[in-house]
Amino acid sequence: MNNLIRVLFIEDDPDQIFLFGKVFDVRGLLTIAATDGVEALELALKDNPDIILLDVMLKNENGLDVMEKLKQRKETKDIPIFVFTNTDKKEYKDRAEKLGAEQYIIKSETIPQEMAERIKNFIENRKAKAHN
Amino acid sequence: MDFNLISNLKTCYDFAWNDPARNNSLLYYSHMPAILVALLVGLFVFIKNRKFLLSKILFSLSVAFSVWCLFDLITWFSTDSRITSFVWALMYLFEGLIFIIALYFTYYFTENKVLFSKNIIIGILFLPFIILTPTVFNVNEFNIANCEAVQGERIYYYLYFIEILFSAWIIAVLVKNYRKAEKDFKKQILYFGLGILSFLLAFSWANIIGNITTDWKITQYGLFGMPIFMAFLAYLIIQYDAFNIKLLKAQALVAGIIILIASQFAFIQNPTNKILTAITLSIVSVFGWWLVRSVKKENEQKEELEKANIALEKADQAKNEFINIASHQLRTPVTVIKGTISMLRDGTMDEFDAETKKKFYDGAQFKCKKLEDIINDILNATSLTNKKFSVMDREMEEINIKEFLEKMVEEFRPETMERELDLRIEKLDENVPKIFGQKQYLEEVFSNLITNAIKYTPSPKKTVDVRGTRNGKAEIIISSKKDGDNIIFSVRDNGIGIPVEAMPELFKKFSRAKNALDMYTDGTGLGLFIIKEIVEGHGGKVWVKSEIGKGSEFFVKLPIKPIGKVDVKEYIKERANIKM
Repeated sequence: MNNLIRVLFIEDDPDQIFLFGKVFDVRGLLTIAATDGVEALELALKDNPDIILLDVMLKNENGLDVMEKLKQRKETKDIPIFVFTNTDKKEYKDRAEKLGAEQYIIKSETIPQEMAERIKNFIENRKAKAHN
Repeated sequence: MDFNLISNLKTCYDFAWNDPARNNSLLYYSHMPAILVALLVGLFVFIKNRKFLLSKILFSLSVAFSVWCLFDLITWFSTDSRITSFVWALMYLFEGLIFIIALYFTYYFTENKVLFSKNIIIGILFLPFIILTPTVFNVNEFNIANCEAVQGERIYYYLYFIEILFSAWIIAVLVKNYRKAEKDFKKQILYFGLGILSFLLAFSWANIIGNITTDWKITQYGLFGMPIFMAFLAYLIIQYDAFNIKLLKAQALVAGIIILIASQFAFIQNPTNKILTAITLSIVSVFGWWLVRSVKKENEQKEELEKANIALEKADQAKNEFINIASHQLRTPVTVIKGTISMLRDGTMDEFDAETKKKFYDGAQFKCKKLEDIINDILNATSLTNKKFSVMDREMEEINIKEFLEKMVEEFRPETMERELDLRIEKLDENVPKIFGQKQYLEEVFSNLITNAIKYTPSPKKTVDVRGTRNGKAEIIISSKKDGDNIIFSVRDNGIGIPVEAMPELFKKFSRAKNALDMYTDGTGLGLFIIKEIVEGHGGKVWVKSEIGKGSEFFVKLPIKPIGKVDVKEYIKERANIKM
């Protein structure tokens, strides 16, 4: 159980939650889904995820506002965040970078299997670095 | 007081005209130009923009000032002590008036209003001027020895108090508004302030010092502030179109030169010089007129270009916004479709059970439909505005309203069943069973209206693409009624409604209301634009009534028999040409 990488997936489209969530599950990642900012903050505090996948165009809010809140809290500020969206607006990219996003990924340029690998590699590298 | 007219006239005559200590020549330069300039600018602004309150205030100020100057001149030159005393007393009233108008001028220039409470205070402060002017407290005696009226001291102290108070008040209003103002207006307040203060301070201090020392010559210098003030105002008009007047630098320059040349006639004695000056004046006038005309033309072209530029920038912004939304909207379904196919290719799909697989396929199929919708929307909008895009010719035909609407409702049946929405036709005007129109376009109009109503009417049941549910019945009602030679159709829902601020932009391309974005993120903002173009192409009109939280009702007014040939394609082509 402890070996499972916990991914908090902040996304409001059920089709995408299902697609990525299912594939992550069979690839050995544990997916926790949040559909809005409040839920995201709650789950980030409760489940202590290893990484957050964050969509930008959420229902009532901008995902980057959620990110700002996550980065403000002591308990959640060190969780690495991948901004995972289909918007490549420069304004969003710049803000994500400023807020300390690890990566900015356009969803349609990747597939779930690849994303699972990407997350695993990232976490392993991070662990290796921490050990050194 | 005994009044001996002869001795009175003689003393005052000697005093006014023969006293070498008095420098009467200065009066020509102090009073006359000040009056002329004040009246010239005041009248010019007033005539140019009669309805504008600020022009009226400026005009009153220049009149009050000119009257004061005129009275002052009379006190200098009148040899009749009765006239001198009379105007001396009135000058008191006008001096107060000038300061009050100046205060109003400052208020309306900087903040365009005066609060009621301030009006009351100003009124109370002005009251003593009206009451005391005709009394003995003002002018009570005439000093025949130096041919001057004797004034009540206390009442003059009140005038000085008002002058100092109002000057400070004006400075306070200027400073307050200067701080608040934006960059461009800041400069205007600065120039206005410099102008009005140089006028008021010169005027009041010259009067105060003159009054205290009774060396009245000083008051003459006080009037030079007025031309300075007017110069600042002229600058404001030329540079910032103040008082809503458009005056070009060239116009002001030409007018100035013409006035200068014309004023030479006052001095020239020599007839040859007079003729030469007249020739110069006419040449300058003709060339000046020609210069002003060409500069004006150029200026108009510049303004038009600026307008076009702003319109282009707006269009560009809308386009960028659309590309941003569209790219997101197009990529989202691709993400799911691509992911699903990749799982089939690399065998990942085999790791799931049948039920999960089905859900993957359903998701992918649903996203395909989404993608199709978005592409259709974009293509439709493009075909409607892009004249290069060829639309198939569609002939006008007779349309049976009942059949037409029933078919539309039937087409939406699966969707409304799934959403548990009550879509029905009510109250069809049976008097007019048929209208003429381009059927396929009109189908698009009603299909778009019904789709919108479905999208933005939360139903008791939640579905994948529509967020939010409701308690109670969700309904969409279609009706029609005759209105003269037209039929007004209505599509009414009890959905989320449209915010007031979104209304003006609603029928424009790529526009979407904020609450629509929240509820349903996949729209392109093209549906209503398409509806408007088609209905107007038929010679009709489309409008909406809506209340937040209660629902919206869209109205489509179509002529029963459109006058002349209706060709939506041609209509839109023409509009596209105009826009380009």
